[in-house]
Amino acid sequence: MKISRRNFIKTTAGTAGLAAASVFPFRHLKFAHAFGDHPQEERPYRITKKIPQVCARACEANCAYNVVVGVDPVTGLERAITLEGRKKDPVSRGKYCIKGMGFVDSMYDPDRLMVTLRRTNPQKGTDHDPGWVVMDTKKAADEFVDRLKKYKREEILMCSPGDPYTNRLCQSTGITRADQRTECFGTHYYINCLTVTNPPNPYYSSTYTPSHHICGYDYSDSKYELWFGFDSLTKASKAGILNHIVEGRRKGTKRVMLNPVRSTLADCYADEFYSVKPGTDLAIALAMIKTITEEGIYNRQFMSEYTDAPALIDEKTHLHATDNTGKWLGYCTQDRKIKPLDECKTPALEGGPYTVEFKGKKITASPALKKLWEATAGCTAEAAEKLSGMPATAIRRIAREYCAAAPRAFCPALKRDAAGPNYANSWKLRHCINILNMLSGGMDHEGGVLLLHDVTLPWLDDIAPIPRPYPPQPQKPVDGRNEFPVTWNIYKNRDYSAPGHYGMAGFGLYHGTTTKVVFFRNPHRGLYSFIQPQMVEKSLEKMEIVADWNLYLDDLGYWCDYVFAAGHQFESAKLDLRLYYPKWPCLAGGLPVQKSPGDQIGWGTLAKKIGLGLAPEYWTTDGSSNPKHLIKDTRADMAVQKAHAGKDFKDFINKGGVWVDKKPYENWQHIRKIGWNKPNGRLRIYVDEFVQAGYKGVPQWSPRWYGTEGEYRFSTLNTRAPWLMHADPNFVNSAIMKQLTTRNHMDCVWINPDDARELSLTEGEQVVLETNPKYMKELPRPVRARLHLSKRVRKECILLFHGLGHRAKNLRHARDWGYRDGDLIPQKDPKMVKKYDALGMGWVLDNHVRIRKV
Amino acid sequence: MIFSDQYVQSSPEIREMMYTRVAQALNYPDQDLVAGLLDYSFIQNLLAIVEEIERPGTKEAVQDLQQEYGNTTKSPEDLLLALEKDYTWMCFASKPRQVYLFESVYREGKLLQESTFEIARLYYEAGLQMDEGFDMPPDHIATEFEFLAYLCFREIEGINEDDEEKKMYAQTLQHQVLEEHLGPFASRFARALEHNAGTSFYKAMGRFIQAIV
Amino acid sequence: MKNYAILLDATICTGCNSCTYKCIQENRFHAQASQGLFRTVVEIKDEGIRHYRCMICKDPACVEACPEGALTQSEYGSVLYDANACVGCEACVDACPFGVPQYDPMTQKIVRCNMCAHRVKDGGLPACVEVCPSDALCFGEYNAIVALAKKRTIEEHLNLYGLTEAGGCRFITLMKQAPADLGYPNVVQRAQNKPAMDVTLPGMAALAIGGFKTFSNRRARLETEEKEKSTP
Repeated sequence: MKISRRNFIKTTAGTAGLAAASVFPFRHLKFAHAFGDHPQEERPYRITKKIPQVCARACEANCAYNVVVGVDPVTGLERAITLEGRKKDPVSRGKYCIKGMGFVDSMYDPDRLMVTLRRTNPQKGTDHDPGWVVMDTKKAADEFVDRLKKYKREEILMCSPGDPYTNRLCQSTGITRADQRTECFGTHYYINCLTVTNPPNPYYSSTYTPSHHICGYDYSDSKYELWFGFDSLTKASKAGILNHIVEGRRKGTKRVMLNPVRSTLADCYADEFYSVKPGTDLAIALAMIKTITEEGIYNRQFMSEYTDAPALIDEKTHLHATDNTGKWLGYCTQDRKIKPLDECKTPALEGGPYTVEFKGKKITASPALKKLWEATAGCTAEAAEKLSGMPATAIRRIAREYCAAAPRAFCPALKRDAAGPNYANSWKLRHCINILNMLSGGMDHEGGVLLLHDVTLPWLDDIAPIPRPYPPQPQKPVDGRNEFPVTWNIYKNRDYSAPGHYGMAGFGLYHGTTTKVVFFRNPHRGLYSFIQPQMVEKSLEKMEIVADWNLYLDDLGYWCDYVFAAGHQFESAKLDLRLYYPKWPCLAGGLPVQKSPGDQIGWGTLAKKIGLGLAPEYWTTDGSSNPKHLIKDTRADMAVQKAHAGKDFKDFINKGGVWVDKKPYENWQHIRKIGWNKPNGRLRIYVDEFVQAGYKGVPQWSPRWYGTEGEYRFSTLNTRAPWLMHADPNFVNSAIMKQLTTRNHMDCVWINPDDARELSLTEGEQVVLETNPKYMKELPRPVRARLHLSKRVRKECILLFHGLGHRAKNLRHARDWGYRDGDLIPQKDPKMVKKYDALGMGWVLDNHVRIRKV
Repeated sequence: MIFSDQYVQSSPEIREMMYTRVAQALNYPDQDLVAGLLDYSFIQNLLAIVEEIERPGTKEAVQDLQQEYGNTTKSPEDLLLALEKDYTWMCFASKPRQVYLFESVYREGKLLQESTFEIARLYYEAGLQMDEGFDMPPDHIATEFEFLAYLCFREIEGINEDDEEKKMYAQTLQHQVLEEHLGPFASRFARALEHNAGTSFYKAMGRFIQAIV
Repeated sequence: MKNYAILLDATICTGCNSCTYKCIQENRFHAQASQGLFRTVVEIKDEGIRHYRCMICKDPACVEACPEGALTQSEYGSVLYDANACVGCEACVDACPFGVPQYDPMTQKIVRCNMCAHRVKDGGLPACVEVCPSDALCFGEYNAIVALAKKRTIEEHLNLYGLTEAGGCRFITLMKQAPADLGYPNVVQRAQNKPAMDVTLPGMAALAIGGFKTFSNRRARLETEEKEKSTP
């Protein structure tokens, strides 16, 4: 049978959905030039170009680098190949790491979500086929917004880090934002807020940082560093940090590290390493503080002039005594009078309580430093030795050496170290660490803790002021944060981008009835971010709408109604203010490496759509709901202009995209601008807010919230393979990273060979780990994993590798691989948590499990 | 389709129609596809192809389609939804992903690899470029089949215009696409399609494509 | 022509495997690496760090063993591999005293390092060296690297691996541990004064082709040598 050309066109024109008049009945191809007449230009196979980028989400350093791109001059098609360092960047200094390179290849991961998906089967859960269909992303967004309009603000939960768009969206709509990413950093963030930065201030309340840290550390120029579990294997690959640590080592920095796991960082960079019992670092820190305060070897000048150490604490109220303007008071030894600290040249740091009359009122009060000393009364080095296993002589000696190296002596603390979200007492350890940094005078000093200064990034509200105050936030958020007055106050009244209490969102969703809609602005981590994923999974089944904006269809997909396709981090422009090493004011910028290969939508565009639908007056320049008047994002232009780094962002990038103001660091001067009791700001060792919420103003020893019991005697420890990032499929779904992980046994649980012998367990054996059911009352989910025996792990401990055990079976390499550590973490009831912890962040390691053979 | 003397001698019109229909089947399903199935034109076209190309297995595949859709009482909406769900599941959401749509994933394991560059160069050489409205990588299997259809169309033009050079050039490019691109991966794609499809349509198309490549 | 060496200071290598991944991207061998075949890879062991990679022997047994002349020694000291000439006989796998070259059954070719000859030729650093975040890898002229390695060994009481092993290598590792504790093979050590086989590329290629018919069993020769050495 022959079909004439005419007939064919008629048939295909219809079927291909094009107008019958078209002579070119194809969907995806169009004419470029005449057939057989293509331009005969030079055809080198490929040329390369280099696109500046800044790492994000892989670690706190955010190294700046160039993405090396292969370009086909004929078709214009481009593909990134690898990275190249940007030497001008003071953080990375031309270095980058395996995770950055992993991002290059993950752009081409075939499991990337190319289209937006909509569920057709209303039944949610792992046992039901969602009946996904593809939906045009913009149409899906419109439909989603229309559906959202039917719900009250209390009924919606937004799970997202506090980025500019999310903040404006949640604030303008009055819906709760729970922050899946930042609970890990929450302990650090809030302690820093309460003792150092006093937000809002020009820098930190407007800081864009996934890790919510407020400072960097000067590893290159320090003399002495004390690492409380800071040497996690996860840091083994952080190029932006490592290159500074190496420089310090060359210059002779002494480093003392404490950890129940001996990592490769300790192998390389520890001059002394102590294997300590988990959750006991606090005892060691307090014993060191006791030694330092008792022996008077602290940095007296710094403590007197830049901290509240001499500020009097009223014995009756247990709060800072103040004058009627709120100024802290000190006891002046020269004239034996109480005066505002700024007026007192020689305030008492020790002694007291002093009973003195001040403005007609009799006050009995002691200096804050004395309160600290009192609080550490029982914390002798010997007591700490008993608890931790670290020799008392070493504790004392190290405390003395540390002070002798002042002010170039500090304790780094960030993310998931011992002072991070790990134990119920971690908030106190974090408080101790800041106190230790004050005692040496290393805070805000070269060779110590470096504070960000003189460079800011504007928020959306800075470029598009809001027409009227935002509506109030729900009074009873689902994550139970209202149970924690200290953090609730900061979040609600001072810094909206402060970390939320995500670890309890699962508990709240499971036990609550109010929430009907959950929207995840998911940084590709699925349910991993949850402390109790079991509860979240169960509760999402009953939600009316669940949506996710994601790079992959991950395990959340089982419950989602919509999964919006997101772009890769290399597919957008960036501007970063180099918070990790803020010795000099600095900006580093990046450009999109490519257009997303599919129907993806950027977060800003989606947020604007939702905002325009739900609270239009906050999303247009004229308060109308006219999409033509949407606010324009000129933050990057404003930031570079303010820093005089360029006429606008484009100009800044053309000039190389890195701007550094290498002026000398003004030691101790940034405290004055951002600390407490401004204008002459000071740091605090004594926190009134703790007292007001029923806790002590200075840290005191407290053991872990529950102890070992029978077989439940293995303390869980947690780390990650250096090349993996959380549960990010960018890395976990890479066949190569998987090879590296298994080759290094990092898909296993690690225990000490002596423990294995005792339990008759052998290398490679399958084991089951179970949390003590007393502390895991609902939905227990034991973990099954392979065992690796390693002397790196302390006895009676079990080391878990985070980021594996993805339930998203559509990920080729990540599925059914490893185990999920989060399943073992006991459920957190906010009312129980607040008994132990004023902040309520984390506790991810405060757990004891039993191990048995499969 | 193996490029051979037999291939060259076969009717370019039939080839063009075949590739067009296959491309249509491998794009995300739409109302036109469903309309074609319901008004029988899609199946009629395939029957014509089967008759002309005489490839073992093609007839059975089309018979399956006839059986399923010849007298269906399903509404166009239900039919479309069923196809959409099946396609989405296999190509975008399956656990694990059952069918990848892009050549480079079969050949290099990732999106946008060397083979993507190579096929895009062939499009360019033939005077084409990707439509801006299509945001997927250029080595989408439907696009590669569309390209073959286009080359057949040019071949016909060459014949009609008595332009031997044009005809030969169109054939050379078809040869290249089949040997260097669709050949190495389309049968793997089609096997995966047949094996994983939940609907008769994709199962039959999987078999049909295996038979023609 | 200069010949080069790489020094690994394992005392500051954290095992991040950035070198591994850079090597993969530089040489585009993702497919092999996905199967666990690496040109260079780092393992974190209880005792410390171990790099598995070509030791760049001065007198490479692999070159000698290859019956097809697919392996040649470049003027820079690195061993070049011609995949087109390789027939996948695995003679080099068998011959290498360090057990480094890997056979890829999919392509029936060998996965091995060439010290980034294409970069070195243009005055660049090998990719692994360039990327190392802690500068644990150092590249330079052979004699300078050896001098540095020896100096550090004495000053910091370190152990050295690769200087004398198998007649001397161009990949030298400094470590705190005894190499055997990390599983480094105890290969035959040969005298240092043996002139390095820095034959230029064409000559070496000719030698390799010419040597095809007289291909000898490298392992047997090594065993004989060892026997001779142990005989007083």
